[in-house]
Amino acid sequence: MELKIGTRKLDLYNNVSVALHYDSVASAFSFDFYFDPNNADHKAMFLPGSYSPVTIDHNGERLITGILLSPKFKSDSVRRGVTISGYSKTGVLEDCEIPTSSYPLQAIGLSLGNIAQRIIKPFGLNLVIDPSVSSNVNSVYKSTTADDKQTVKSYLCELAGQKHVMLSHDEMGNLLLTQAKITQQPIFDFTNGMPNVAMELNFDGQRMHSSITLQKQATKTGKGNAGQSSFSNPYVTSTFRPHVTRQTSGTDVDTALCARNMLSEELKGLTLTIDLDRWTLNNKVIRPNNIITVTNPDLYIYKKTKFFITSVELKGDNNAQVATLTCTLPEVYSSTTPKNIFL
Amino acid sequence: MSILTSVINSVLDGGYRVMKVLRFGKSDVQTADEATPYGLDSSAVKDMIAVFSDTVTKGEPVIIGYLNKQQLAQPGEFRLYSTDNDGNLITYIWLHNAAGDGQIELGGTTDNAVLYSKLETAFNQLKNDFNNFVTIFNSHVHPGVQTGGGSSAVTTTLGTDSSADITPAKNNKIKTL
Repeated sequence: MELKIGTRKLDLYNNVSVALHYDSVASAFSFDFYFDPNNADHKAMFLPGSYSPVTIDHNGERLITGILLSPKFKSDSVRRGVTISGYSKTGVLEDCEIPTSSYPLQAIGLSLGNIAQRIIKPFGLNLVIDPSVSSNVNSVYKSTTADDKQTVKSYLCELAGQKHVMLSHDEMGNLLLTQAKITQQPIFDFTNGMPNVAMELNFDGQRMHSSITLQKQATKTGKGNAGQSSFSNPYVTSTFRPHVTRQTSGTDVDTALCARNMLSEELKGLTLTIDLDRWTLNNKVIRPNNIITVTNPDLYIYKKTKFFITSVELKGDNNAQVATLTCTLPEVYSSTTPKNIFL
Repeated sequence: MSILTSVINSVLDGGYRVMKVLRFGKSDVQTADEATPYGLDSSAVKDMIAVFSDTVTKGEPVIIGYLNKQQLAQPGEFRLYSTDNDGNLITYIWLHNAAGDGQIELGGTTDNAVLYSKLETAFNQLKNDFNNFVTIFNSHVHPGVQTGGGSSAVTTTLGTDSSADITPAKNNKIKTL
């Protein structure tokens, strides 16, 4: 792995961790570094509050274009150095509210693309729109407004959810409006008993409900017929666990989509993690937004089942390189009707 | 959550009054439908403080009222008024409480409204009195008429004063300009 702070390449680092996320506006990284307080370069690179640009590559593949966020210096009888952590350039959108220079907060007749461009511009960020979602990204909202206390990420996520668009980021530090590539070919087929592979499946039963019903308040032109939509969870069929909640954004037209999104949130309660002794598969760094297949009776997965990689954590030190893949059902990121993989 | 905002202007959109207000700071301009009691149609002037309220659905806020600064009504009373664009009073209707003798003020207290039926009664009395007099006049004769110059006696059937009186038509409950 190659780390650069500004244009300076780092050599003496250890305990590196890179967490690549799909369903997020930022990926994160951390590493330890031997800090020489008398080295002018070190002083310049690790100045607290410098928010220096960072790039991380592996085998010529860019993983993160980000900023140095939080240096943590340590000292005792043995020199300990510094632990550096940071995130993608777009991570700032998780930490900041909409700047007043991007006001008004209310947008009338603007699209997700228009709104996102306007809000991220003061941060010096660029917007990339995946062609697969350009139609949805360019369709307009009649009226939408952000809360002044809401973070940029929260607001844009809310808007994107109404258009079935995913808010993500790319390795170059751009904000990305996209859609999960759930129909692509699997990059790997995992089975039980593979050497140096550990898998774990977790089903969060408390998070799941037998049905999800979303209700919307009356609309001014709706003549009293408020929206309502329900979805059944195929993983909760033997017991009665209804979930009734309110639609808090969008129009009557969006009610079914919002209810489906809530079902997706519940389906995130079924997670698969895979630990590997490598960072690459097929000579490419393992990244989120890819499909794998898994067959593992030990995990109650008796037949070959597709999973979607939502995040990949790459860890390495002087001794080993390991990766942890966190996966969910592909239906979490699509509007298709989910099927119970255990039946 | 309710927020105090400042009115910029308003437009009518398909029968709804859409208020444009300044919410937070200097550039947080928002629009919201105005909610009022049923049957009440009014339009606030610029710079009025409007109470902006979110609803369950984001992007569907409403204006639920104003901080009126020309309140005069006493407990139990009700007062409607109109202003010019600067908020100066133009005219009003004020429904007083018992202490105000239950009066209705229509823009002032100088004069009184009239009760139509009482006015009609007085008018009809005056009309009858007048018609009776016309009848008497048309049929009167003068006894002792002489040829040539001279005088005659008074008519045998005399008219009488009208008893018409519009005082009961005065409406002490409705005062006006």
